[in-house]
Amino acid sequence: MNCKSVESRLSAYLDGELTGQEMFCLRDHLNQCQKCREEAAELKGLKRLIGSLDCPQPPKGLEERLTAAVMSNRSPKSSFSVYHSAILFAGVAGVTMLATLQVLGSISPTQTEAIRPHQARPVSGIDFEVRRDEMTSSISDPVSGTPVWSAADSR
Amino acid sequence: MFLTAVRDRVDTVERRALFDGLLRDSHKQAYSLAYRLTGNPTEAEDLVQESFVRAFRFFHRYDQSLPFTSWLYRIISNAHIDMVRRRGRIRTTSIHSAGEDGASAWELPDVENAPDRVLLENSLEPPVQAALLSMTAEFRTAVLLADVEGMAYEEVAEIMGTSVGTVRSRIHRGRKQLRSHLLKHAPETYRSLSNEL
Repeated sequence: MNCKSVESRLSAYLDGELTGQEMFCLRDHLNQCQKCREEAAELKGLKRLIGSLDCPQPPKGLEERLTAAVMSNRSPKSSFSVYHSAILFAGVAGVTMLATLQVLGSISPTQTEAIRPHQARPVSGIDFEVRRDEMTSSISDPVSGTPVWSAADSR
Repeated sequence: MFLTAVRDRVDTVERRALFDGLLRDSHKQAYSLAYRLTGNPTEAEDLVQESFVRAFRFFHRYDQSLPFTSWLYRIISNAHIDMVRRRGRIRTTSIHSAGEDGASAWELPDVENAPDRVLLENSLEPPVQAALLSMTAEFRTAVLLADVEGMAYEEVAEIMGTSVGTVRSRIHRGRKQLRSHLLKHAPETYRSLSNEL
């Protein structure tokens, strides 16, 4: 190795980033060359100088400010908020309720109609009454004159 | 659809909790690096804030098996270069056109007349910080990650999205630029600091 190739590898040498073979060759050269040795010592000092800089302390409240900044800059992908969830939930609940009411509404009138009795028109002294699935008729007892009820199941 | 929305909501809440924990654990380190990259507390906070906002936006890309700080440093590094570019401070000359000593093709800025001189004077250890700021953002980042954060070249290369060879070159030339700057602008400080170490 000559001085030029050693010089370009000095930082990597000081950082332990050379391969074994390169390191041995470079160390060999340093043992023989005072100029390169001085250069290596100076770069080593610089490295330590940079590394010795004080660790700056973050200002008070930085964490809270950062959290707030992240919250106010959320991406569309992550912005499915409580508000959106609530709207979606209310929508689904509303549709379900309407559907239920519709089904109940379609049943009620038929049942009401079935319960109400139909009064038949009296024909020749015989009264008919129709209730759901049965029909009754009344005739007068020829002896007592009181009505006699008879029933006929339509089934 | 409703179940998907609920699942998304749960995922978001979990993701948010995880991110909050990582922010709490790493914001001091992030601020420290940002401070050294920018040289003053105001810009450091801006840089850290921008970086965490970006980190959360792309948090779905973070591989949780890897250290969060490495991923965050990559974002800080990119955000810092973007900030410098926006302010027009970055040099447009190719780094490959620089001389062998890393300084011949670079005209070091006149820090005495720099617009951010007031900020530099408020920095910790002003001569060293000023020398760091005299470098390109790429050189400064590589030097700080290696010398302050103690990272291996491979890690630095991963963070900066470049090759180990480029990192080796940036660190070496960066250190030499730093020395040139100190010798030119603060020779006595440099000598005294060197003797102390």
